[in-house]
Amino acid sequence: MRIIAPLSRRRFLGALGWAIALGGISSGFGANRERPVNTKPVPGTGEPLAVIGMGTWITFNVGTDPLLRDERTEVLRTFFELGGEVIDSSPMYGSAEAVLGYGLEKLGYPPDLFAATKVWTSSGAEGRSQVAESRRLWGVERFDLLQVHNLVAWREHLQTLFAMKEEGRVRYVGITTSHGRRHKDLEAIMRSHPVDFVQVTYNAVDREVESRILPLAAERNIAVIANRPYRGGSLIDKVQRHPLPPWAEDCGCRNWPEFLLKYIVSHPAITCAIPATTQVEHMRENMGAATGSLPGAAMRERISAYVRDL
Amino acid sequence: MGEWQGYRLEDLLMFTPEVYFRLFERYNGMVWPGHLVAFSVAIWMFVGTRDSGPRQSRWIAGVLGAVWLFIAWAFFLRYYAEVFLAAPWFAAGFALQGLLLVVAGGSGRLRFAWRVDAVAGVGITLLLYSALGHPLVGIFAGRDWNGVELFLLAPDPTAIGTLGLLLMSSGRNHWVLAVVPLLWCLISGATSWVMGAYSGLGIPLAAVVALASMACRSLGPCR
Ligand SMILES: NC(=O)c1ccc[n+]([C@@H]2O[C@H](COP(=O)([O-])OP(=O)(O)OC[C@H]3O[C@@H](n4cnc5c(N)ncnc54)[C@H](OP(=O)(O)O)[C@@H]3O)[C@@H](O)[C@H]2O)c1
Repeated sequence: MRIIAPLSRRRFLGALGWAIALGGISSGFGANRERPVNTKPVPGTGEPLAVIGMGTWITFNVGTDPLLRDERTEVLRTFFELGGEVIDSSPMYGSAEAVLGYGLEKLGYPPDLFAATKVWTSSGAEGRSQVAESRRLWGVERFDLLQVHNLVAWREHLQTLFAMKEEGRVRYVGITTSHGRRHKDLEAIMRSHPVDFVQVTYNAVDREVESRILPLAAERNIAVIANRPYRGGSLIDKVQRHPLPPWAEDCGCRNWPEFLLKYIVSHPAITCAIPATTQVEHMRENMGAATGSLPGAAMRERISAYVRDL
Repeated sequence: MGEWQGYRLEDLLMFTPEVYFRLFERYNGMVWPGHLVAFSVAIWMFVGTRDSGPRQSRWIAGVLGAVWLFIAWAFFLRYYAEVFLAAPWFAAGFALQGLLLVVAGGSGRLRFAWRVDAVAGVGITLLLYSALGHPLVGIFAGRDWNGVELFLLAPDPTAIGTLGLLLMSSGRNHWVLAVVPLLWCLISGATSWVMGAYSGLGIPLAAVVALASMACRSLGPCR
């Protein structure tokens, strides 16, 4: 039998009050954490979230393979041990949600989990049943964040998700896109609907969102999740063929993953980035980007230019 | 299908090569010792097609059809569907091919022989490649023995071997029976390409060779 995870995140209640006042990056300790992680508040509520989360596209789609399921559980364990919170998945990701459920159950449903999944069906009527199935697969009683995946049937699904929020069946509602697709539509939705989160592709080379989406998110108090922080892996593969610039230390970056991720999460409008990985060691590197100092505006430009010119 | 609008080929690959290759390791574990049966049947087919009479041809086509049906269920529905949303469609294609082979075999329209024409020679080569070459290419490319892909058990060599057998049949083309194997070679080749598993490029190459041979036979020069 599946264990159903506790309804609320332990950190949530305690953190709400003080975080609203902070309005920026802060460091905090969580239970079982080896070290502090930087957090940013969700603009609408002030709830602090670790600036590095985790994606599950491809990486957690391992089916029922017991060996690979246990390996992914170790990745999850490391994520939580190092202060991770936001996990993003989708019914589109094959068995990823089931594999997450397996790992979460093995780890006893870490209280810091911020469970985010998506609705992905062209049938507006299927939204609720798809969410119910995702809940079953994850083994959680409710999601923290439900997002309309890639704007698919977004009118119907947003209606459903806002109704679910009213009923207390989800805490936040969001909408996602990637690869720079349909930004005009996304912008229109951000202006016309009270979404709490948007998820877009953002990294040192894919910067389209900087011009309109990110300022609009800041203006309308919408949290932003950055997907494809490594361009699906091709960006990190490319940069790692080169030495890290000596000035990387000046912006608190000890390795390439930190260099790329800190660029993303240092943007004032970005709430968190969600790199995906199959490897414990890579998870450690990624979570490293949630610690230490972040680059300022001038340094951010330098990072982007450097990465672009490699 | 509206969910899939706007995706590119590489966006559709939703698993790592490791996961894909592990599928075969687990599948092989499940079907063992079926490998011995498959290998024996492959030898029987190879020898039998030398000059098979109507009765033996019927058996060969029937067994081949049953193999396609088995792979549809055992590999696509039981394993591949765990990690790939399109796998049930592939299963449907393999099941269709299985039925077509059984029907064509039953109706006596297939008659296998080695030396009908030059195209049949290509067919024998493809059959041998599917049974010996394809599994070995995988091993040489670093795949584990446990994950070896065998003719009559795994989809790729079975599709290639089927194309080979069709080229050996009755000295004439069986286009309807070739559609699914050709399509599968294309899909599987694209999967290998996107995964960066270039050892799989023999699959679409085999399809191109089969298609060219059939075209050559249809147009006259290879008759
Ligand atoms: N429309 C949408 O809603 C949408 C679209 C795209 C993505 N997303 C979400 O965003 C998440 C992230 O995007 P993504 O998975 O496409 O790509 P990504 O996170 O940019 O890149 C993942 C790749 O980076 C590699 N990697 C991770 N950490 C590494 C490290 N420290 N060193 C070296 N390589 C590393 C991984 O390989 P290893 O396994 O070897 O570490 C993996 O191949 C997705 O998983 C998904 O949850 C959502």
